[in-house]
Amino acid sequence: MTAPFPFSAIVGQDEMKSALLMAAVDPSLGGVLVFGDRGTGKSTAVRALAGLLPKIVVVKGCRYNCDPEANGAMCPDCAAQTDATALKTQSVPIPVIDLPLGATEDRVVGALDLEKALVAGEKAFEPGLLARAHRGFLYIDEVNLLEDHLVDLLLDVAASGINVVEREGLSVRHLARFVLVGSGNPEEGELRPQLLDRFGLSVEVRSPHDLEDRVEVVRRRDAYDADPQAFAKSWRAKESRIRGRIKKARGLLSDVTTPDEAMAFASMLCLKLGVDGLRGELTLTRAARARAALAGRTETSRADVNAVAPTALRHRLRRDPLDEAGSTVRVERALAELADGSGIPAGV
Amino acid sequence: MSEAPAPWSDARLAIQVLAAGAGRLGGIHVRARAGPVLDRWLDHLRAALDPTRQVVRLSATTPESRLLGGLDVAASLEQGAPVSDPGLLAKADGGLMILSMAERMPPSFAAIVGTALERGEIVSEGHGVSRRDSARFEVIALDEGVDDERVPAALADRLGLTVDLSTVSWAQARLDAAGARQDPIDMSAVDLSDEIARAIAETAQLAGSRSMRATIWLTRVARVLAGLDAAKAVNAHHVATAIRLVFGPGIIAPPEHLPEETTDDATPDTRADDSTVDDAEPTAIDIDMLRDMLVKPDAAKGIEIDGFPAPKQSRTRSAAAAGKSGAVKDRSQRGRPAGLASRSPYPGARPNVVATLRAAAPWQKMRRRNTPLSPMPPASALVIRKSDFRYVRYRHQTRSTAIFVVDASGSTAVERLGEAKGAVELLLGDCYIRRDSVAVVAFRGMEAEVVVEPTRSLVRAKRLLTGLPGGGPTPLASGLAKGAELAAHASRSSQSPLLVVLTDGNGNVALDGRIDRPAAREDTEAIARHCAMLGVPGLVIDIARRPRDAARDLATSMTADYQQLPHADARSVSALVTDYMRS
Repeated sequence: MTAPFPFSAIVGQDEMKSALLMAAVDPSLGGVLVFGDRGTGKSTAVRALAGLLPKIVVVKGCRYNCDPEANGAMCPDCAAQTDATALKTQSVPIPVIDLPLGATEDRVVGALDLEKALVAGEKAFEPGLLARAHRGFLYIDEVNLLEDHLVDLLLDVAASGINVVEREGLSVRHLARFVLVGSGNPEEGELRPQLLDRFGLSVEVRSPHDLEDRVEVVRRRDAYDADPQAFAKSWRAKESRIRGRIKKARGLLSDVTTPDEAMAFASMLCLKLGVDGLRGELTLTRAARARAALAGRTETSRADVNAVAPTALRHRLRRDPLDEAGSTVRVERALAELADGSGIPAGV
Repeated sequence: MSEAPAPWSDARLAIQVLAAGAGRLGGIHVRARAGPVLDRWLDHLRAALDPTRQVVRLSATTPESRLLGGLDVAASLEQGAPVSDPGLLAKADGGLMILSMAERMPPSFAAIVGTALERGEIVSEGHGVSRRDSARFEVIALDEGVDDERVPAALADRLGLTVDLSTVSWAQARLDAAGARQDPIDMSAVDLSDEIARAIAETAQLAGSRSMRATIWLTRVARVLAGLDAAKAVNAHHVATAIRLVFGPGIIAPPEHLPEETTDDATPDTRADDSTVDDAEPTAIDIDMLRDMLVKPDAAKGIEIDGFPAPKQSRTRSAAAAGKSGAVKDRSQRGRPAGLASRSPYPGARPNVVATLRAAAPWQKMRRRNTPLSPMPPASALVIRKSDFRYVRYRHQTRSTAIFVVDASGSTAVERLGEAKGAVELLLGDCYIRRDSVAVVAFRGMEAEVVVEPTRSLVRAKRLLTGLPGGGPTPLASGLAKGAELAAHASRSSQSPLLVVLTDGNGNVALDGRIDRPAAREDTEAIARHCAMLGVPGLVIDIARRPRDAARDLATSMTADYQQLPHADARSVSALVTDYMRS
């Protein structure tokens, strides 16, 4: 297997990279949507991220990546094991599972194990991609081309964190908590608003404007294609630095506090932009926390909120057909107004 | 290389470059109609490649499940255990894939092939099997597209070379004997100065390419060309040729506009000695020169350059097919799978074998016990009942296009025009989500005019509508004719058109431009009947202050619905049309 393109070797695209890192630090952020021009390294970045993730401890041989520490929240296989101490554990890299286009429903949610059914006449459940993605990432390239009935399935599971399978006389439920990462090109079709809202963060990518950056992209790509292993090796130091940062930030996350001032600022921003529901606010403060943790700080600042606001909010704005400005511009406008104090509602 | 860069010699060169590129150029996007020229070109292609490489020919309408592979039902039944079939993409590993009718390719098909091209492997999760196979191949996409039919960008973007055979005459292709086999060359051995790298990056940007891949293709193709030239470093001439091969001949200005030095042939030997030292003179590259080579992107805006769209404007089929709404035909025989059904969705549907087996599997033991009356089936035979049958439901979506034919003449008040504009804008805001498009035809003065071509872009429509003047006579017949024309075009590209006519029904300009009320009425009547014949669903909105029969008669002739909105305001018109588009 050839070495994947290193994460740190991706030129520019800082917003995309930091969004992915934040999702890696805090899985509860609710996933990342990367939308934008073709050939901007969207899927490269997601696949590269897999190499940077720390390891997790799972029950050995468990097809659902069960957490041995999770009492009571285990898959049917592990729960059947009466003696909890008998469960062997192993540490594995956090799974990054691809959901390829053309995947069928039975492979996504899991289905009757055909081999066992036909050969042994046994009714056994064969877990699907959702089981494999538990505690990890589920990556959908060209997410906007995904068939509607699969989107509905994913929505349901992503919201509940539980995959319920009722088919072919089977009745199985298992945990499926995963970070949904989707990428696509909006010119090929919009995403359904319900799915859009499901992503915690959203990033817009475009190809770099700066000429030197463009040259550098080609240069690195060529070097990688000529010799992937050697290229990966030359970036190893940078990669392990990022790996260390993620690991440290994951440990730090629970200690990061959000002072009232930053919290108030987040609320004010959501209010100003008319973001529906609490989801936006929650994601905004959580993302800010993840950002602080990544920087090695234990307190969220207003600057953190400022920096993550476009990523956390742009896909939550109600679409106004008569406002030509893009949603990114609207978030930035609101930020600027809050910064100079003109937009602060009275009484706050 | 002294010959003029004619499309045919470029097409031949592209073959050589692909073969020399050692699988790093993705493939060739070929714009050509089926015919002897294309066949001859494909012969050349086969001659240039390693004869041991397999060539797989595939139609772009092959079902996705065949591309990805899955359970091999026959083999599984024979062996009594699941046997998986690798699928066509994995089978093409190491070979060349010729995709015919590439312009008919659904976007998801393109995305699957594109991903395989990019990753060199194919991951499939479907129909009972999960597999990962090596799939290194190159794609020759044969594009016969007319109008806005295109190979979806998900694939086209990943093909390094573009060839246009549509202007090549058979006489030219016939005389040309097949070339020799071209062996792969090591493109990383060729130097590329920073200056040239920068020029290439800038050129790709100028050509309007938003994808970084264009830059990558240009770099690689220029390197291969230099390698074929036995040059040590890439020079301006190579870059100039690379631009033609990557973007296709259409984007290049005709040769007479080229500055002298590009066609000037520098022999490889003169700079073969030391390219790093003397890169100043022979490889001196002028970005202005490259810029001149490109048809100015600004000038090209909105116009299709002969045979090649300005990339920014390129309307891919993908955009056309990826509708979220429009008329959803549920019990369709084609389209995208939308789950399983236990009843046949349409007469003559064939059951899906894997799903049927799955449904039958749990009951086998029991059924074998319970069927003692029938002659004892062999132990391995499956007992399948009718109730086990499962069918794949398909859902076929077509996009709607609302075509507004708006009376902008003096007979309707100017404010009506404003409301019509507002309705279009509101509708587009809505359509944007549902992927429907809107067109506007306005009629006033002597003739109707297509103000907004079918578009989904609100910004574009707004810009076009701002300058729309009102007043003058009423060429209703001409307006209808233009509307019908757009509707017919929409139907041809498998969209469902809806003709919305905002008028009081009183035309006074005949089709030939004479102000002649009876002739105008006759013409209107004739075209209305024509619309009825086309089967275009219509809606006539009567905007007269005091509605009389004229508009109602028009609706009758068109077999369209009739609505009175004497106070037609933007919101009610928009709501009305939305209802029609959804139904």
